[in-house]
Amino acid sequence: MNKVIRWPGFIAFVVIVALIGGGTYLFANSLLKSLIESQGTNLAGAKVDVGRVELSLSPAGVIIHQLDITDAEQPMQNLVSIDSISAQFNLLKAFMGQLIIHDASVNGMRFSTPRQISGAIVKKPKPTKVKAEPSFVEKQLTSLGKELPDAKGLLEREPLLMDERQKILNASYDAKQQAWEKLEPQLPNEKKIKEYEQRIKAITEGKIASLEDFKQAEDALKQLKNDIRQDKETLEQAKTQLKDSSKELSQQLRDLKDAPKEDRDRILSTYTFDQGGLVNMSGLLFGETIRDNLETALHWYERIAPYLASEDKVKEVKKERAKGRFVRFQEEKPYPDFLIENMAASAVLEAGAISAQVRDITHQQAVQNRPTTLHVHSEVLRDVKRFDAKAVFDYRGKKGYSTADFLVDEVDISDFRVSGGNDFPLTLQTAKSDMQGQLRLEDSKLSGQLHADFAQASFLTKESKGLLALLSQAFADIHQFDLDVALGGSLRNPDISIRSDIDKQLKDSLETHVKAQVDEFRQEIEQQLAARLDAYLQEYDIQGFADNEQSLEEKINGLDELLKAKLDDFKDQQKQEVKTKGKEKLKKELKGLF
Amino acid sequence: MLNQLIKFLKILNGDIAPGQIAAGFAFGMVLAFTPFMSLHTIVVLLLICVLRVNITATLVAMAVCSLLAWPLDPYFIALGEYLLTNPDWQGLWTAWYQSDLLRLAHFNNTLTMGSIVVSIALWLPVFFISRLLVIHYRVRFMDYIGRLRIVKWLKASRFTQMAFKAMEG
Repeated sequence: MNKVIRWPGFIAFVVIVALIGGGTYLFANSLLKSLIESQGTNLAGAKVDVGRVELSLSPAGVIIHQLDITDAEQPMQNLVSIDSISAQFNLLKAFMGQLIIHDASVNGMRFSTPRQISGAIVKKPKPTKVKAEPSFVEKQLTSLGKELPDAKGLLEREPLLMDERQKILNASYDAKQQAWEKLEPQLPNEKKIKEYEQRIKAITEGKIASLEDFKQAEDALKQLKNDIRQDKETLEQAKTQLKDSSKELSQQLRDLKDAPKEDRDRILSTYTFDQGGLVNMSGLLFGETIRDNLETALHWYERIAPYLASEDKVKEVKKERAKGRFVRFQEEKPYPDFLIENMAASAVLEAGAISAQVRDITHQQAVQNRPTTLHVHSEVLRDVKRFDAKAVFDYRGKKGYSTADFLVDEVDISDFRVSGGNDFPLTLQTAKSDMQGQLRLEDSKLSGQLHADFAQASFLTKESKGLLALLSQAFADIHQFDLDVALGGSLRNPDISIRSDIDKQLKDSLETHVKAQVDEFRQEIEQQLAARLDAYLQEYDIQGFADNEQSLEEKINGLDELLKAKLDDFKDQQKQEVKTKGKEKLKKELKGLF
Repeated sequence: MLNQLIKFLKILNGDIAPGQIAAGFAFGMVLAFTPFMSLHTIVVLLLICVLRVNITATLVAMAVCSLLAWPLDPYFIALGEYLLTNPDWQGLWTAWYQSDLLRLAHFNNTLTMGSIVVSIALWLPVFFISRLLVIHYRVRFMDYIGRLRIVKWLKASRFTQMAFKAMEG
């Protein structure tokens, strides 16, 4: 037997194994402490401190005492400070590469606790603070805060469309007036037309003794008509020019007359608050708070979800060379590679203690066919009678989904800052509220709703001016309201729609006061604009152009009449003369008979 | 490595039983072919320590067989895949899968399964062949190799003598 067995070798093996095992056990605590601190620091981007680590073999477990995770943004403050974390795990499964934690507890979580020494790891250059743009709510409220100015003073300062159009009309009127004044002396006047009449009369009624006389008269009439035609043409050109000028000036005058209305509307839209804005006042006021909270929740969800998502797809085809793969077989009680069956956590918040229970935390939910569930509950919060939230993260199927339901009973709200703008800081000073909501996220699609009732509400605003003073009064009158929030859209781009009866209350209260004030302002503006328009209109005699045009028309008609004048034919004239003479002779003879 | 080689030559030329050298060779092959981080490694190491196995031969075999293991790994994996997914064997594997100890031995890993099966199958042939080779070497080649100039030079060189002294010391 001794030929085959080497007893010293056996003893050496046992000693070596014992040394390795014992050494590991002895140094495991400090090794694990260093590992948690270094890995934690890498992950958190700021120092992670561990007070002490205790490993135990029977039952296999670990206790981490006093874990402090520094807030990377504020190195003198801990993001979270935990009194102790304990976990009991299956040692044999751990050797098989499966971390199965049956029970875990996180005790005494505190947030934003002060640190004695800075937890910064790298001194980053402080980003220069860009002055934040005022929020949408602030912009809206700032516009409300503008006091309605004096109408007369406002019109002196404001650039008006009416003034601009008056300048255009003025320039056009002056140019056309000058052109007319230059043209008018060149036109045939009344005297010249009379002269034409006399000359025609002289020619047509003059005595024609012979054919020679007739031809001379006919040539003179022809020459005269040519002169008249030239003058008529000049008059017609002048008339066309006058007509065009009159038309253009009339259009510009109409534009000028329309300008006050446009000026009034623009001024009212700038200096008064559109009543329509009150329709969604609650959306303006509460929207950003709700959006901020939702974004925070979704941000954390996005960080957690990848760890819960199924990794079946990865397992199906992954074959690494020289490492092989682990083939799974049916198990009586299957376990995933990582599992925390039951984790209890307690946190000490500023508002009081809160406890949470998480079950089945794993990235392979399909193995056990159970979703991860979370239950947060508290009945000892300072300003809340009862808080209860339940969430389910179900990633067993190909399309995972998450749901959350929460209920908050009798919240005592005090000094809740609704709007932080300088122009209209609005604070919900006191209120009692009951809230409940549901949220569902499936395939990156978000849906959910929140309903809250507020009673014994009291809003506080600072002393304001203008329409804000009325708004402040309207808020002061609100003591009870509700709020309904509907959520939709996607994880990255959520849609939030807010409805509240606060809108109706505000609208009712403001409508009468605001309307009266705005009406009065409108009337003042209209009067001032009308007065200024009247003054402008008196400067122009557009009708003068029309009158001149009429006068030219009459002259042209007169010349047309003159051009109709004709000279009788010489033969006809002789016949007429003979006829006249014969009649006179016959008359004389007949006179002798009686 | 040179030290191991010199030591191995000394063992070959010494009076250590051929069976011990052959067993060392066979166990070295097992350690080289199979994944190290597994339960069976402890068992093999225990056997090497407890049984009168030549450890130098084990180390030399590990070095040589490790070079072979790289190109052979895909074949081990293919064999393991075939065995573990063969429908006829599912009952056995499923029964084994319920045992934490066997799970700890990574029997369900395709590389572990394939390489262990090959190692077990080759253990006896490697043992007997290498034993035979050691015996034949000592009978037929040991004197001839001892007379080679290079070996004489190696034995006479200061470096070699120092190396031997260091190893003996």
